[in-house]
Amino acid sequence: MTIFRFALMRGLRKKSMFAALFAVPLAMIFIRPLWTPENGAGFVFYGMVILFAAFSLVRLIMTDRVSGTIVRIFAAPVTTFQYLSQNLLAYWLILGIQTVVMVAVGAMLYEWGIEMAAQLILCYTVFAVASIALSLAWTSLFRSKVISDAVFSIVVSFMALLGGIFIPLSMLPDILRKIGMLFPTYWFSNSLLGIRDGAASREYWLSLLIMLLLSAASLLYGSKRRLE
Amino acid sequence: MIVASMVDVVKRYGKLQALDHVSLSIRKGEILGLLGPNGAGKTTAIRVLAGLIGADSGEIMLRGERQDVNNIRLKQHMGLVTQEVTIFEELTAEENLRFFGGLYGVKGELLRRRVKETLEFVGLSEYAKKEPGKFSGGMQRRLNIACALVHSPDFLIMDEPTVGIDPQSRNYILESVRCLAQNGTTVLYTSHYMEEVQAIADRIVIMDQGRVIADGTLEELIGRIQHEETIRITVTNPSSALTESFRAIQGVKTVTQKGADYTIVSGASSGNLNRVLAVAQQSGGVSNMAADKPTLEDVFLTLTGKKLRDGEASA
Ligand SMILES: Nc1ncnc2c1ncn2[C@@H]1O[C@H](COP(=O)(O)OP(=O)(O)O)[C@@H](O)[C@H]1O
Ligand SMILES: [Mg+2]
Repeated sequence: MTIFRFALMRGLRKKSMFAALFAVPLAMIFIRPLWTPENGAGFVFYGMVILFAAFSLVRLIMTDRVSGTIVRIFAAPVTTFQYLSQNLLAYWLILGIQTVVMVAVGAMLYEWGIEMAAQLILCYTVFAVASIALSLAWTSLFRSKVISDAVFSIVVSFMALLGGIFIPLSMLPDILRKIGMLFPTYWFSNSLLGIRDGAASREYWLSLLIMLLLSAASLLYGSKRRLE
Repeated sequence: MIVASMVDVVKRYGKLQALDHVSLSIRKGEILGLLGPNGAGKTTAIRVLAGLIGADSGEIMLRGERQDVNNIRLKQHMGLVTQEVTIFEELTAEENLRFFGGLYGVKGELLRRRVKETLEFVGLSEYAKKEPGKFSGGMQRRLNIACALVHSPDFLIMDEPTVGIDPQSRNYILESVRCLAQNGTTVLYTSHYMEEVQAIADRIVIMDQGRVIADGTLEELIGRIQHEETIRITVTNPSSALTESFRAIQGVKTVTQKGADYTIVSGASSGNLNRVLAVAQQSGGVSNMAADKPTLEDVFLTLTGKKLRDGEASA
């Protein structure tokens, strides 16, 4: 469990991470207009916070690879599976705790019922899995952190657009919606719609399932890269 | 007893043959120096030996077991000092050691003690709670070494551990390596600095372009080459007649004179030292005399036709 413990430690220690993990979400939750049931922009925006936090956490794995520290880690009796699973679980735990705190504060402020709170937490934590998996696949494509970071911000903006983060899904042209379906952001905002329709709908569960399937594919792809 | 061996190991990167039928073996308790210019294949050899990458063919044995990328168990007894400084900048020196110790399953009181001992060993006790981002190059190198020692490996692989640091830190590191070897650790020491290898290694393997071109003790290697003898002599009565007398000695190739100083190069094993001395004494006397001993540099030059440093420039 050394890798897991140190992943938590490194994740929480980076200063840039502090903003993404604590300052921004906690500032968001107190802005009342973001969380009205009709105009709940906060619900999807918070998803973007998770995505960026996941990306900056997974960047630690990329740092290990680019700096060559990974060579030394694999010179020790450590398997690729142990290395990845313990790191990713630590990141997921950090994001999960953040989500629980966020939703708990939100539930108190805006009187979300226990059922809605549970559905939100489930939806966000599943999206956190998808975000981590996507970031891992993404960073495995690059040798340079600078390029990876730059292209990621552009791609995420597109994903957010196609995923109905800025414009409601129902207002997107059909063709863009179809492209959007390839990305977890689409299914994430779709699952949120499923919650706001009242009790969790079939849409909701289906969206979660698709997010998990996309995650599995990204994880498989992202875990192939070993040294360098 | 052989701790580790490679037999006919081939490793290709695409078209490039980084290891071309490399064979070498490391005996228990010795310091084996692996010398070669940049790009010779030293790091690749180490990675294959450490089971970090697979070989295309050949056999790698460690402690009597076949080494393999999936053989996790063999890694337990090995320590690897990487060529790059590979430590976590956001963790303190102590935390870095705790991490790497933890990877080898060292924990609790033993881990605490080993971290303390190892920091002392590399002279970084005062910096235990500091982040290595602010360390000098030499200190980072020492921490880099410490990270491979926390778990008390009995076989330590060091890949150019002294690149780019001040002479003082370098001597400190060389001294530490000697100390480890004295306490029974087997060391594979890689470098492209021949002075280091010459100073520290019990046995030397020289690599160039993916091949092992020679191995043996320093004396064996030097004895094997046909070496030119260079004699430097300072006489009391320099004259052009004396220069001519030196030239007339059999086997002498060149004589250069600079005031009272003469440099006389003779062909391999001509044994001219005494003759030169006799000639000089006849014409007045000698105030100083020295014969250059052949070095590893000469061995490399003879075997490859190029200087070790040429290889460095082309890497
Ligand atoms: N991952 C790699 N991919 C392709 N070529 C490589 C790789 N690693 C090393 N090489 C090449 O293999 C040769 C040997 O490199 P290396 O083992 O690093 O030499 P050394 O450590 O002696 O400097 C060099 O020509 C180098 O460019
Ligand atoms: Mg190297």
